[in-house]
Amino acid sequence: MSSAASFISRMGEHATHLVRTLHARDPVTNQPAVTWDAVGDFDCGNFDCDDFECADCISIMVKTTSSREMDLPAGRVTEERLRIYTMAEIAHQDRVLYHGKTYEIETAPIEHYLSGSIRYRDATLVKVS
Amino acid sequence: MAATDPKTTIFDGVVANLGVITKDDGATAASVLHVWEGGPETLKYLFFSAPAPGPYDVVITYGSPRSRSARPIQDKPVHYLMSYPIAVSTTDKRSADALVCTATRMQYKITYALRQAVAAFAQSGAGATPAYTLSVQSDITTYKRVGGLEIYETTHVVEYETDYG
Repeated sequence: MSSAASFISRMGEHATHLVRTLHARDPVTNQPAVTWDAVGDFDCGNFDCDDFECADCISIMVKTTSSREMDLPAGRVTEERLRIYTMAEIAHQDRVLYHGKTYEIETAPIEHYLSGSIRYRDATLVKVS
Repeated sequence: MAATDPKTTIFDGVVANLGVITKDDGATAASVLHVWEGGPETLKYLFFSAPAPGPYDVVITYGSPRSRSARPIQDKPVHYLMSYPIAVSTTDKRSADALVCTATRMQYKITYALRQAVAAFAQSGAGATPAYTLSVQSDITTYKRVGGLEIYETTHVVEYETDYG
C-alpha cells in the first residue's frame, strides 16, 4: 500500500457509508422513492480490523470546508460542508454517517490513482441532519 | 377546499391525452417521462441510464403555479387564474452512427401533442367540482449546454382558471 493510502487507512477516522437506492415511482408525483442503506463495505482498510460490526465502516480523512447561516421565512438554516478522503467506493448522492450526523455526498467523487490498483477518492459532503 | 390539486388534474390529463410520441423514424415509440419537478434523479441518469421504461427520450416536468385573482365585473365572485409551467426537456439521442431522436424535432412533436392533449380536457364536466377551464397560454424554448449535455427545454404555461381560492 502506498504511503498516502496507508495514511488514510491508519490515521483517519471511521464513518458509516449508506448507499442510495431508487425505488418505485410515487403514483401522484411519479418521482422515485429514495432510501439510503448500509450494505457492508468491508472497506475500513485497517489491517487489524476483522470486526463484523465494522461491516459498513469506511475510513475517512475529513476537512471542514465551510459553514454558513441563511435566514429563510420559516427559520434559520445552517449549511455545513466537509471534504472527505477515502478509499471506499462512495458515489454521488450516497450518504455518510459521521459523528452521529448525516451528510450527503454533494459532488461526484474524484478518483486519484496512486498506482494501477490503489486509489482514493475525495468528495464534498453537505450536512443533511 | 378543492378535492384535487390542479397540478394533479393537469398531470393526469396530459398523461391520459398526450398519445404516442414517436422517434425520428415516425414509427418507434419514444419513451416519455412525466414527473413533478424536483425529483432525485439527474438528467444524465434519466436520458442515458434509467432502467426500463427508460432511458427516456423526453422528460416532462410539472411545476408549481403563479396565481392571481380576477373580478372582471363588479359584484361577481372573484375567480383565480393559476399559471402552471410544464417544462419539456430533450437532448439529441444517437445510435451507433445516426440520430434517432433529434431534440428539436421531439420538441415540436411534444408541443403539437400537448396542445391537442390540453384541448381534450380543457373544461371540467358539467356540475364538476372544482369547475375549471384550461388553455396553453404561451411557450418559450431555450437551449442550454449544461453538465456536458445539450438540452433543449420548452416551458409551456398552462393557465387553469377556476372559481375557488
